[in-house]
Amino acid sequence: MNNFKNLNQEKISQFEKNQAPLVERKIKSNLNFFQFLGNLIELFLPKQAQIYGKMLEEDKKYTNVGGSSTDKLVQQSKYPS
Amino acid sequence: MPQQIEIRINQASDEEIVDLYLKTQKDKYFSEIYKRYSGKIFGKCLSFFKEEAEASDAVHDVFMKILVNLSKFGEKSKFSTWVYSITYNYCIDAIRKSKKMTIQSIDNVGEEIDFEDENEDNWLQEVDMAQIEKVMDVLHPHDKAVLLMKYMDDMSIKEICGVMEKTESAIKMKIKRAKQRFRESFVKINHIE
Repeated sequence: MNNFKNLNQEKISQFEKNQAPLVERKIKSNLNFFQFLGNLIELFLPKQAQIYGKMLEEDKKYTNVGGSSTDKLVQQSKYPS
Repeated sequence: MPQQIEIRINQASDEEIVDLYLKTQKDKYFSEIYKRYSGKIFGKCLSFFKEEAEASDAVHDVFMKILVNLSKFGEKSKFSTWVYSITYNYCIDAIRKSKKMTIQSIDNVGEEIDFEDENEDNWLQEVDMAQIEKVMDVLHPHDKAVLLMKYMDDMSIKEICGVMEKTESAIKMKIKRAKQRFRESFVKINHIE
């Protein structure tokens, strides 16, 4: 076995004892935060899309109302035949 | 029952644990991966960053990268090789950013390469640890990475090719040069002292 394999062994075992649990906690809390963000997007994005969809539909309705009234006027003859 | 599961986790291969983690997203599988690799990653980072705090931060960043890309791990290579490739690339990138290091091209494949350097290999393996640490401190990050992959992680040339995204002959050349620079630095350090 060459000595490259033993490089930093002492510091590694110190890290595993002292620092590693802290780093692990930090990683997990970051991970939880990302998961929370993901859930938030997953929950609200489809609803938002629905809202936008509905808004567009409403828009169409209102434009149709104006349009249809004039259309009706054009279609209806002024004098009964 | 929980003890039985513990034993199973301990006995499972890295790839099995990764698979379980991807399927269940359970903390215990991540903890197992972390337990197996945090020390190794820290050791490698410590060879690149002199400060322990920097190496510790690097462990955090490397693990975040591993987690973000875990679904892309396609088992084309061993999990350990994949983890080490993320670690080495992260360290080289971080040093490049901090020092604005210029990267030398190693793609001069046309050069004659003498691969029969077993003597050099034997010599390198007999150097004591304190000397290795001193020499590693002054080596170029690319040279460090290649020597660590070859002598610390026992990676094959093919595996190193995968990590560094270079051809086999380019990697062989890089290893040869790293060994030469290691010897030069070794002589220099011992001459100065």
